[in-house]
This record gives sequence, C-alpha cells and structure tokens, in this order.
Amino acid sequence: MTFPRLTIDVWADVLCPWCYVGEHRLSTAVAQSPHAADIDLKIHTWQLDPNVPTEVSWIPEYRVRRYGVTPEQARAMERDVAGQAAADGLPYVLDRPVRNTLDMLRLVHLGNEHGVGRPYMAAMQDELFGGNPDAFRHDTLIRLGINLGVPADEIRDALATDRYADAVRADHAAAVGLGARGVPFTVLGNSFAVSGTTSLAQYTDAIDRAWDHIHG
Amino acid sequence: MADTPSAPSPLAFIETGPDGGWCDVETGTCTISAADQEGPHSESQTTAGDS
Repeated sequence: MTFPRLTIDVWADVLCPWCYVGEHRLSTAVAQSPHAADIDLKIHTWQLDPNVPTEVSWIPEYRVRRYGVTPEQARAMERDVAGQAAADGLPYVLDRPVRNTLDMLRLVHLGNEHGVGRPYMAAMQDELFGGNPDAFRHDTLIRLGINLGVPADEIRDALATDRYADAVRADHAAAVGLGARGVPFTVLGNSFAVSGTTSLAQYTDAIDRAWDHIHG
Repeated sequence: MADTPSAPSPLAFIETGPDGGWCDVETGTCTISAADQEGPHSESQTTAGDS
C-alpha cells in the first residue's frame, strides 16, 4: 500500500528576515517529524520589495530611507528579529548589505531545476544574515551554486540574462491567488496555510494536521 | 507587485502564535508577532512597523 506524500510549499525572499528564521524552524520541524521521509519541501519565490535598488546599500540606511524611521528605530526593529534568531542559534548581523533580490530569486529557480532550489536560497540567506558584505556579488552566488552542484555556466548564463524572471512572476501570482498576506507563506498538503513564521511547535502541529488530513 | 487576491483562498489558514513574525506582502514591512497583536490572517489585520 502506498501512502501519499505530504508536500509543503514555501514562498520566501532572501531579503526577508522572517523567511530566514522560518526556514530553519520549518526544516527542523520536518526533520523531527516521524514522517520526514515522506515529506517534500518545495521553495517558491516572493520578491518582497521589487523597488530595492540594484546598487548595494546597508540595512539600517535602507530602512530609514524606505520606511521613514530614525536610524535608532531601524536598529530597534532589527533587534526584534535578531533576538528570535539568536534564540534559535542563528547568526543575525544587523549591519548587513541589501540589494534587489531578483537575480537571487531567478537563481533559486535555476536551483529548482537541479533539485537544490531550497538549499540554494538557504545558503544565500546564511551569507546575507551572517553579514557577508559580498553576499550579493555574482561570484558569491556562483560559488554557492557550484557547492550545491549547479553548473557554473548555467548560473553565469542566468545572471547575464533575464532567465527565470517569468518564473518569479508566476510564483508571485500563485501566492496571491492562494491568499498570501505575509511571507514566509507556507502551504501544507494543498490544504492548510501559515502566513509568516511561527514557532517550531506550531510548525510541528501544522505538519501533523496536514499529514492527518491527507491520510484521513 | 503589491496586489491582493481577488477570490477567497482555497486554503484553511492556521492561526499563528506570538513566537514569530511576518513580512507584509503588500507593504514589505516586517512585523514581530506579539501575544496581544493580530497576525496576517486575523479578522482586522494591523501592520506594525518594520522589523
């Protein structure tokens, strides 16, 4: 007898701090699940702020400019997420670079073609939130892809063109159609959804609920 | 890309607790969830400051 597998679809952006925290919590919940071997995690892209310039700037000044807050307010906002990241044992550098993420998200789709889209995004997030000032550089993105088995020439080709931009737009439209209001946006078994990042316990409960639903 | 769904979602949304947060898909602002704060899928959504 064959049991249906549970598919978990996640929409996220490299730039999104809660997506970074959520990725680790959801991965942990899946790994700890008794059904881990029968769960497929799929990454989809969501560009949180398409208006971020393609020139690199820094998070505090970006938030001041984008949201009209003071530098101290910008840092206080960051500290909220940093506190939860630290509690989860994750590096979280407040003074990190920021840049338009469309190139990164296109590469996630290239990664998906090689079965490594999720770890590719996770590796980009680790570089970014770990504070690598070169996190957005093409040679960094190429290095991360090569480490996961993505051919360098395919990465360079994608970066030199607008390849996969349509896939980023399609993912965006799909999430809108499903009613996403917050990212990360997680859909379990095509039936349940979580908008935003929640606790490890709640991710675990959501997985159990979705598993029971599809095996009802 | 700040658009909203035109039809009801086919999904059942699971309410989230205080230990987390979200980034609003329309504004891009990121918010930490608090025990006394409504999440992105509550009846009357509120958007606090960026995280």
